[in-house]
Amino acid sequence: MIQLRNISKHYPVGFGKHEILKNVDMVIHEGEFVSIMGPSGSGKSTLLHILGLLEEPSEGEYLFQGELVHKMNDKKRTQLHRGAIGFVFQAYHLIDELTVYENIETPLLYKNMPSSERKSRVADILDRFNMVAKKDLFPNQLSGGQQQLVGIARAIVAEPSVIFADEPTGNLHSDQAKSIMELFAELNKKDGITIVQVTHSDVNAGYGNRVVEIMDGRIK
Amino acid sequence: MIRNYFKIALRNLWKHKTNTFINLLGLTVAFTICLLLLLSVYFEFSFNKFHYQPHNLYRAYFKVQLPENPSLQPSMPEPLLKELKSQFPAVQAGTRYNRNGCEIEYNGKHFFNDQFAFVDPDFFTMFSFPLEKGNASQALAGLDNIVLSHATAAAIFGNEDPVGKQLRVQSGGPWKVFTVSGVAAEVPATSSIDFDAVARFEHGFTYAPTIGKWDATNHDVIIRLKEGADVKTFEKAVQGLINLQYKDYISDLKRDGARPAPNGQYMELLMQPYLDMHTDTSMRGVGDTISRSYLYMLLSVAILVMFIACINFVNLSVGRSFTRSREVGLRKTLGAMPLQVGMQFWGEAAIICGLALCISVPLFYFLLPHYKAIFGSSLDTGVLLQPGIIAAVIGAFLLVTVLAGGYPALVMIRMNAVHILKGKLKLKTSGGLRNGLIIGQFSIAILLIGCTLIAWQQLNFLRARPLGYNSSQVVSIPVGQEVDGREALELLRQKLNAEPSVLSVSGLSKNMGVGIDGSSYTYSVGFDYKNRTVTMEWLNVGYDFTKTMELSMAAGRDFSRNFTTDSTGIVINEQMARKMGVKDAVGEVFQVEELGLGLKVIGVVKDFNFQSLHRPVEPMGLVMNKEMPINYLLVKVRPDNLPGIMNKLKTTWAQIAPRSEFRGSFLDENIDRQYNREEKFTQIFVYAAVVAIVLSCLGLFALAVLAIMQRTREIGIRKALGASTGSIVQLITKDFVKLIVVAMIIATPLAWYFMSIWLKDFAFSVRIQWWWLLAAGLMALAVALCTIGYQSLKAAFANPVKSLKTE
Repeated sequence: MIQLRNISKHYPVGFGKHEILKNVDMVIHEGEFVSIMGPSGSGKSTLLHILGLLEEPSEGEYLFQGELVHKMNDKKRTQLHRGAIGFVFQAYHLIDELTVYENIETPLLYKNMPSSERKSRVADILDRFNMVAKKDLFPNQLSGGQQQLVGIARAIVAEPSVIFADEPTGNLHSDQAKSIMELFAELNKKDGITIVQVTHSDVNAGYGNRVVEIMDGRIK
Repeated sequence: MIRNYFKIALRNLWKHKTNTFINLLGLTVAFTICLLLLLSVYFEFSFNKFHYQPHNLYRAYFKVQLPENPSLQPSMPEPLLKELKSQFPAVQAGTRYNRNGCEIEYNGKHFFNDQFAFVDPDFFTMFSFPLEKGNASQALAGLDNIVLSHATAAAIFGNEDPVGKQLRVQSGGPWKVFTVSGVAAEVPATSSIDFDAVARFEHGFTYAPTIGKWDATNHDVIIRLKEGADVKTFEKAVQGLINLQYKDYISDLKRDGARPAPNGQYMELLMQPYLDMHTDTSMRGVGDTISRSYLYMLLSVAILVMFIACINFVNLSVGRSFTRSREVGLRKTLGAMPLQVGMQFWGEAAIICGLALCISVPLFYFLLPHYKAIFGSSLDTGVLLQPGIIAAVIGAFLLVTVLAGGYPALVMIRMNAVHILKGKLKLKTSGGLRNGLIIGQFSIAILLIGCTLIAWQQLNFLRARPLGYNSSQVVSIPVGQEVDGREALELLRQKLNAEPSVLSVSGLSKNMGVGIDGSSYTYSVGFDYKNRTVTMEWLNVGYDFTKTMELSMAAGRDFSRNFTTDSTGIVINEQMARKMGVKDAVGEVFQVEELGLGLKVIGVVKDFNFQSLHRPVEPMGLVMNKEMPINYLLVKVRPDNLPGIMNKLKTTWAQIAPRSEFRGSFLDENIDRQYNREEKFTQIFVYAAVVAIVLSCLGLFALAVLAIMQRTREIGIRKALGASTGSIVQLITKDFVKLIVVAMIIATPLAWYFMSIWLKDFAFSVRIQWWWLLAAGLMALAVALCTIGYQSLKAAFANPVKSLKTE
């Protein structure tokens, strides 16, 4: 599903360059739950952003679902963001001005889904996450764990084939983290969604079925 | 989707109430001002368009190459129209036009009207003044026909049918009997010609002595050319007639040293498009004229105010993009196309602008009466409801939303989603564009303040300048139509003889300044003096004129009852004496052909400003001529108890002219009134300047709040390191002050340049002082400092621990 060949990423700094990723090769198959681990500044977030088509590598080839990413135009990438890829962020990144219901609905709006189908999808998700009672609240009225739950609901509502999660439990207590990770595992097993997460915690990495360690821009 | 955007937009607007309020206020003010100003400009430019094929209507004028400079003269001689119609097939129809006030009598009731028009029978067929009753082509067929306007007919006849009824009319001559042949529908507000009653040209009081004379000009000639006829060809064709009829005059011009126009002609008869007349101030118009540059000025004021409001919008939106950026970045990862993000921000601009427009339309209707009163506009309330105007308003509205919403949307689209989500986004606290826009705003504000100050100074200068006569103690009473001026003068003199508070009484042909009746009268005479054509203005006066006006004699004597020959005497001013170029003007004799007699100079009066200060003191003579009218009576009164004497004059006047209204006024009021246009001009600047500075400062205020918000941490750290309050205030205000100083540097020369052009309109004007313009800049700076000062003080006094905690 995902194939990285010799990916490098560097920024120009002064006269030289600052290398973040060096010659990364990686394959992720459909249905995997991969955890990327490594110390701060090792390049794991950059790797995740490249995987999620938010950043472009400086060198190397990236095939997403068998297609070369650097050959895709903006429209195609936007299509992938709308359908195939879901994101979960450490800081949740909900839209403060929208209610829980509206936040979850937003990706479907961009997919131009008809209103009735949209309603039933959002209702299903709310039901599944036991959040029906909270659907009209705004993000700042929820606890961190609940906000992240909304973030995940929003990521899966468009039924993506892969979810990229950037330290999804980084801002949460351990109990909240536990339930979120259990949810990821369930999504991976039951719904067959491929999950790639960046994490610091060995406990969290234990939920996945593979760990990729990264150090100074290289995969160990 | 749209609903979603709409919801976000509304919630955002609600959340940032200060910004929303500033934007809404700014845009509402701007829209209201734009509606008022743009509609009045449109209104003035739409004058006379309601006529059938208006582009074929022309008013004739002479272009004469006088030795000093070419002169445009729209007054025509009596035989001209007849010749044009008979000799030139391109002329389809034509009318002479003159007007006067009149008194109408019907069944013993008297009615006074200001607009009695004297025209030719083509009048109702060449113009589109539809008749409610009567036949357009026959209405003026009979010499004694009269057509009344709807309002006049209703006032005189009520429910009676006026057609065929006889009534008596007096207008500057004996009473005449007319037969009503038609009633005209109400004349549109956009017509240059307005009338209460219309009769044949032959009834005009100036008609009889000018029959067949090419050198006596006193009316307008308006013609309709055949569709497709070329006006330039027509003007060329007429040249032969002009050269023939004015052979002597042209040879006089050559003798006096006139230079021909580039086409070799000394005198041409040219055609002014009737559609342009209302906005052409190069010569007298039919009806009011309004200067095109004045209209363009209104237009620029409207655009400048709109511009300032848009700048506020752009600056605030971009300034806030920092807080909005997370949302945008997120939307991008959820699959939003740039266009969708753009549309969302444009939509927010559209909501604010739409709201502003919704408020400004009723506001427009509310302010319209005040606006009309202040600026003397006759703008019609219906003008907003025309389909074309509605379309234009919607078009302009969309344009504003694109201008105001477009740039912020572009900024949002360009943002890098990853940087935003990583929290790496660096927002420059002082963007180049933002600074440019602030400079633009304050340049406009300073420019307007500067112009206001200069116009103000000029107006004060005009009012305070000694005119050479006593204006505060002299009351001028318009004679009106009911009585003869000379008789009224004698009666008034007798009645006020015993009145101790009246010092002297005299009469004059023209008013000094502009009176309550608003009319004006000039009489220019040209004659040969020592083989040179000399032109001078004549004022026809009664005895005691110089005494009443407190004029002093430079040489010779004033008119006196002791000399029976004074009806052939003339008192000239010093300017005329200088122009004559003789050592002692007293005793010289002018041979004036029109009068058929010589006028002997009996005295020279010291120069006084008998015209407005737009013009220098021109050659002038005082005469006591039985042929010229006395239109105004002048009464000099004691300065104590002025209201009391006004009442006394009113009752005395009621005895002399019982049916007429008393419209007397002090000369200083009249003189003020003649600068009405300048006053309006200044007022527009005052309003525009106030709006500009208030809107600019509102924007500045919001930007300062934003800048302080973004620098809270920096300020906290600086305070923790021991920065003083003063240094923090300085830190924040410094950036803004720099911008305003740049704006001063840009605006000052512009204000100086524009106002020097304006001042060229006056023969007497103030010199622009550099410190006026400096004051304008400092004023803007002071207001701006007050605006940001409070905010920065608040930031400087804040507890640093608090601000550091927020990070």
